[in-house]
Amino acid sequence: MILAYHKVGPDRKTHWYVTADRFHAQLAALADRTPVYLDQYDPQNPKHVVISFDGVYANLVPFALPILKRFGYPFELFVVGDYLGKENTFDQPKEPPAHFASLSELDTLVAGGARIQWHSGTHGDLAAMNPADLERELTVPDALRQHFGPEHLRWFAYPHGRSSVALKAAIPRHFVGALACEDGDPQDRYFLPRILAHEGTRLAKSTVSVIVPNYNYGHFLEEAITSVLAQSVPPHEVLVIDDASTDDSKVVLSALEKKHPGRFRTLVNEKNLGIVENFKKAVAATTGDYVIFLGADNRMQRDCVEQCQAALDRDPGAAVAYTDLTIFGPLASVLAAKVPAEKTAVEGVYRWPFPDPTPERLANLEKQNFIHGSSMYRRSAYEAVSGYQSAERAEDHHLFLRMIRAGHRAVHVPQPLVEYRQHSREQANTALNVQHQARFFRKAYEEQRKANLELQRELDLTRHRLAQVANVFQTKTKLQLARTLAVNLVAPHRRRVVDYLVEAASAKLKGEATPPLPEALLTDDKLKR
Amino acid sequence: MGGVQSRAELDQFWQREDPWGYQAHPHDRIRVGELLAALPRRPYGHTVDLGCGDGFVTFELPGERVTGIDLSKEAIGWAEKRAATRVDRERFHFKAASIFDVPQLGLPPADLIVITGVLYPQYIGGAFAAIDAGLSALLAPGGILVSVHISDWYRSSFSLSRLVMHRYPYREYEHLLEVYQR
Ligand SMILES: C[S@@+](CC[C@H](N)C(=O)[O-])C[C@H]1O[C@@H](n2cnc3c(N)ncnc32)[C@H](O)[C@@H]1O
Repeated sequence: MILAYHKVGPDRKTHWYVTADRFHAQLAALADRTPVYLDQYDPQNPKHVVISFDGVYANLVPFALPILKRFGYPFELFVVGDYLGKENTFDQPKEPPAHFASLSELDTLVAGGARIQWHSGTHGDLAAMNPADLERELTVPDALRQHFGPEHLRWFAYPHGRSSVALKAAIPRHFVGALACEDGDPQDRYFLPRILAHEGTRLAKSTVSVIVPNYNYGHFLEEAITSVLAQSVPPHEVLVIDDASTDDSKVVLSALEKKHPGRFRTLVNEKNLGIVENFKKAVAATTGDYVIFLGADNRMQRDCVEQCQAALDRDPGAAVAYTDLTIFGPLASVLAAKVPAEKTAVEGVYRWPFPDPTPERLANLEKQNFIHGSSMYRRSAYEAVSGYQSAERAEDHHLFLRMIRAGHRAVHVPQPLVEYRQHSREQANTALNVQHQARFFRKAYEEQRKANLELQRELDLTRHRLAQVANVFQTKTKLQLARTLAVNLVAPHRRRVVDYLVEAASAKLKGEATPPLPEALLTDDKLKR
Repeated sequence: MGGVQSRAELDQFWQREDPWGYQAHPHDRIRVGELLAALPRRPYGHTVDLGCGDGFVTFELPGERVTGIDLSKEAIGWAEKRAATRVDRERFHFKAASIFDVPQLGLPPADLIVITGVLYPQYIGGAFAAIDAGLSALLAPGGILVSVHISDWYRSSFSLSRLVMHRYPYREYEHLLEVYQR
């Protein structure tokens, strides 16, 4: 497969543009294939992919190059020789003004893995030209050949994808092969087909379902769901399944649905089904080739779906891909001491590295589990071992154990792609109430704002206070406590506390001790509590 | 067709001093305090503030060397003017450039990257992936990235280990502060 791109940018001015976000997702989908240069390309090899660009436009440097470099993929640039560093006048006004890459921009791209190839001198209608003009169009100036060296300028791409008998006959004198558009012929080295990549092009061979099971975690749902919706490779489907929550989950969900219309689906159980039945129902309600559960109190790192999907794509014998974890929340240090986990730059937040699946560890999996519940697994393997089952052991551990015993492999993705919250039920419930109220006030606030400016100020304060109260549950340091106090105070005090905060923060940065709270604050009656 | 805001549009906006009124609003002092309080306590060699505007946040940041980058030349003009009056002016280096051109600036690896008020659709369109890749490459191993944005307008997140998500009220909105580590 040879892909043909033109312009990559922040927005799509015409259908010749692909946004950088989609470009990223399209490259991520090539995980199980081998991107190669044209010189290595074997059209019969289904794994081979060539990434090519026509033009070549200067916008590749800011918008495509960082992404290509991240993947380390080789790519081919077909330049229109007379237009290096100039504007796309021959395309206007059909296309908006755009700059072609200059020689130094091409050098930058070459340093990032590009090879330069030829797309004619002027991008004119070569099929209609006389032999002399045609010869000029196909001749790469010696200076350019010298500049780039012998690995470059060996291949040709037909302008507008069009060829003719005379043109095709002339190509072999100048080039080792040539590329057409969709109508090419994989057997013909001088007319190889290319796929025109556009914004909607889907290259992934697999689909992913993300399932967020929720029971009374209304106050955490927003972080869980937005972390899924911000994935670098959007999953094929996102299902939130609520197991008859008694908190404000439904309100939260409908607000999120409004904010992200069509981005996820919700299923609400009328009766609480319990974990196993709920999980089974959720899997049955989705269709993705791969399934990953994310607890409603947890979050995903941006590339969780991308990395796990790539790991399973690359290894068809693997049934499950598991990652490392970041652990956070009020009880993180308790778990961290047990597992054990490594410190991160932030106090109270840890990285929990998981071991590789060696044969010994797999043999001992029953006793010592290392495939956590937010691992991505293959639906076919799930079905082959008849899915989740009630057992004494945790339902996911049991599932993965049966998969491994059935002869499937596990792969380890050694990055903390799931953020795992450690908290206790009581804490959750207290926080829940605060959150509940906060949401109520926020809603009231939004409605009243339009009607009454005076009231707005009142509610602003209330909202502020409530949010600060919620913060207390995460706070331990004096500094953070002071932040909370700040809002319980009337204006002059608040100023003082803010000043104190700034002072304390800069002391913290300099590594000095936190300064004492100002007298005026300590003697205030309201703060005695 | 819309499209992301150009340098000319941003320069127009930055004709005025302090166009968003950061100097006067108490919440803007608070957001600086929140950001500083969230920074892991460690020495920072090179700090980069992306979309730094007139340096309102930049001048508060730790770092032996602090680089401020903004697309608007006018904004950088204000920042340089403010830097000139400081005793620690040697620490600060400002440059007018787009966040998308950062990989081409040849900056030394960053121990701290700060990006606040920039990752909104009107500035970055559908090209966050390019920023994610570019900044991840700029960050030194173990380096810290802090992102602070109005939560309703922010749809991104970085391909780095996220250590903190913290929300606090900002004007009539809510700020989402995230700390990442490479
Ligand atoms: C809301 S202001 C935030 C300023 C500063 N970070 C602060 O918090 O005080 C957004 C800034 O991003 C800048 N900006 C917009 N697009 C940019 C781009 N592509 N590259 C660099 N800066 C950009 C604007 O000029 C503006 O100064």
